[in-house]
Amino acid sequence: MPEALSSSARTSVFDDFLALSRILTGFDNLDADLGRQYLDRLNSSPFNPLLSQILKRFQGLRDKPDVVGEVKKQILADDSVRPTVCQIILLWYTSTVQDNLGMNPPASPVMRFGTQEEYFSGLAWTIIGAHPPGLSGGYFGHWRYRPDNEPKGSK
Amino acid sequence: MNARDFDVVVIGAGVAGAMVAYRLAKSGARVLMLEAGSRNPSRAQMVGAYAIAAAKTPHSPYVQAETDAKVPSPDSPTDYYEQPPAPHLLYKSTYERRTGGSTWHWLGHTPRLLRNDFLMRSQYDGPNLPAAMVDWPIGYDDLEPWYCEAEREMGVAGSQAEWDGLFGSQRSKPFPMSMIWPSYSDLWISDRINGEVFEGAEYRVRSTPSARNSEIYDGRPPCAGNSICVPLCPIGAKYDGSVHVAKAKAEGASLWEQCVVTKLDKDADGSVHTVHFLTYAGVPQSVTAEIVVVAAHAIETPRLLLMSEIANSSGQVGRNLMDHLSKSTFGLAPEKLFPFRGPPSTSGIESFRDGDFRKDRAGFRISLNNDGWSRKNAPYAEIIDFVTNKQLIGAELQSAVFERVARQIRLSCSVEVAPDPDNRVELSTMKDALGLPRPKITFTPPDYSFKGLAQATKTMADMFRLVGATDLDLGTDPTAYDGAGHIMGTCRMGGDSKLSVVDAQCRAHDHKNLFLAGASVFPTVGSPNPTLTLAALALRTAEDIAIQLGVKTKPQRNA
Repeated sequence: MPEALSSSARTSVFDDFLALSRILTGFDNLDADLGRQYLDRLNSSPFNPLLSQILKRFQGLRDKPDVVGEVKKQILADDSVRPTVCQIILLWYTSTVQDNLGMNPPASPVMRFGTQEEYFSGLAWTIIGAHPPGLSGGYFGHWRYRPDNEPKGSK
Repeated sequence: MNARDFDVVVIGAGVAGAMVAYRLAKSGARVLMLEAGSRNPSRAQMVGAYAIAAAKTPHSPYVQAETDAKVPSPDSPTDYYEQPPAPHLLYKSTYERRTGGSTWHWLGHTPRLLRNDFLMRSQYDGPNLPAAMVDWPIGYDDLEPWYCEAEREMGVAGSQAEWDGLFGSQRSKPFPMSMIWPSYSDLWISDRINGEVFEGAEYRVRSTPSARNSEIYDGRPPCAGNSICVPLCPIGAKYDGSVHVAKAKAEGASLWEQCVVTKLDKDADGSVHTVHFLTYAGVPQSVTAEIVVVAAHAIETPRLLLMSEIANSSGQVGRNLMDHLSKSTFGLAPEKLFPFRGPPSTSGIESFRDGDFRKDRAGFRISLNNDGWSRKNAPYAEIIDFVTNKQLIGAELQSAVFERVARQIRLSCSVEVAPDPDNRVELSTMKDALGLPRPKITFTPPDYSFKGLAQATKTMADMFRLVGATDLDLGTDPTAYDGAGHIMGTCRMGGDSKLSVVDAQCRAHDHKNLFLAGASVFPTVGSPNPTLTLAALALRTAEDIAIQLGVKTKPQRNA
């Protein structure tokens, strides 16, 4: 469950974005500086108008007991905003913006990366027990073994 | 001799040229390396460029406006080469015009050619062997000491026990370093397939020899498994040609970068001494040398020879362009194997490289890979799929992505391409920014190789069956292939000056002081990655050049 935000912080778009991001990504400890960068990138992308809608809807959901379920029901189930939700997750997981995400018919992905810091902060690599390609932080031969950072519950 | 500007001019500062330059400079020769590209950007800058590149292509870290404008490095089959339009098939391998050459973005694998790879005609003659399949003028035993030398120079990690005697190809010295460790996935697959037999050949997974450090070697660190050998090792654990460029310079060789050679002059006596080149500003200059070495790989080398109208009394310059046909297949393991860690590939299967079947079809290697389904856009595609189609978020999404991506296996093959004189490099009427003709390429893999590709696909399907993989993607088009990045042929070596461009010492038949270094001289290619073989040939050629120059080769360290 994401940590509670102070009432004053809730009023800001950024805090809503960060709180929603925690629910979407499943990570409680998201980096606020990265969050500001990602929000800026979304605001200057084709996803901007729908992002505002999503955050407004989220304001009415964030105090519900089952906030994850409510987000799935009230936001993710809506076909019109789902690509934007996916885009928020893609940013945190991979640092990419895919402007043509959700196009019908589907288009080949056109990925835009942000900064080097963002690339090397992608959370997808942690999820799969790996590391960002280009920065292992490991020792010679570590690939012979199960990952040191193997996600919990892995079999 | 001293009337010339240099004893030796080497054109191209990639691995072959740099090794020749290093050995000759060390012998006391006055050596100049001319390189079309430059050493910039720095490695650290390139890692940053890779991180933010939209497409992580081989050239993506190396993008540099001025160099790319003047001497483009092809990054697709059609952005630099002129190739016939569809339905004609394409030549798909590319290269890097940069100091250190394409070894900057090679994988680093260094298997040797097999004994029979040098003997294709005498071993496998018959109605189905392509007509241009010939014996090399040298054999495995001639090159073996130079293989050892190249392994020492580059720093190769491997297992003597696994590789000594492979198909009758003995090793006279152990590898300089112990092997690159196999991945968790390699070991899991090995446990399930080793000893099994497919159509008469036994599976045995071997650690692939690699010019990648498994310990501190030659002042470079051990591999940390950063996983992006292609396009760039972030820490220099993987060998690249810049290592020997630096060594050559330390021995007194000169390096002139951003100098694009345009023409070699033939003197009245048939010798070649004058090298013309352009700076990026378009200023024509020239330099002279007693010996000229063209080491600009199998596309730029014939391009230069054709522009110069030399070395081609046989009509063979540019012909017999080869590569390896590469193909990836995909499956999901029944349990997690944790890809996206370690070098992109650490093990392979050599069992299918040689045998009587080569009378009828090509041999091949199979690589076990550690990069999951990244070639199918993993993990990006899985994230999008699970969010948009399964409506998963949070912990459920994490679990689903992990469960799927951690089970991904990619197998790939590298299939021998038979020489065919109609597969060739010519001069295009299209010009580059300096006004030089771009390479015109015609390439259709022979049926002999497509038969090998089909057999490799069947073999990979059997491997997936043995390990219980599901969700297989073996491809549907039997003529679909990828480039392996192994640009070979076009200036074949041979004993008959009417049928080949260079002799067994890689000296042009037509010009006694012109030598070619690199994979352009390969008459046939087998199925291994070519770099170790071309490095061994370059070292051997350097000794022949030293003899011709009259300088003495100094004893090598640890030789």
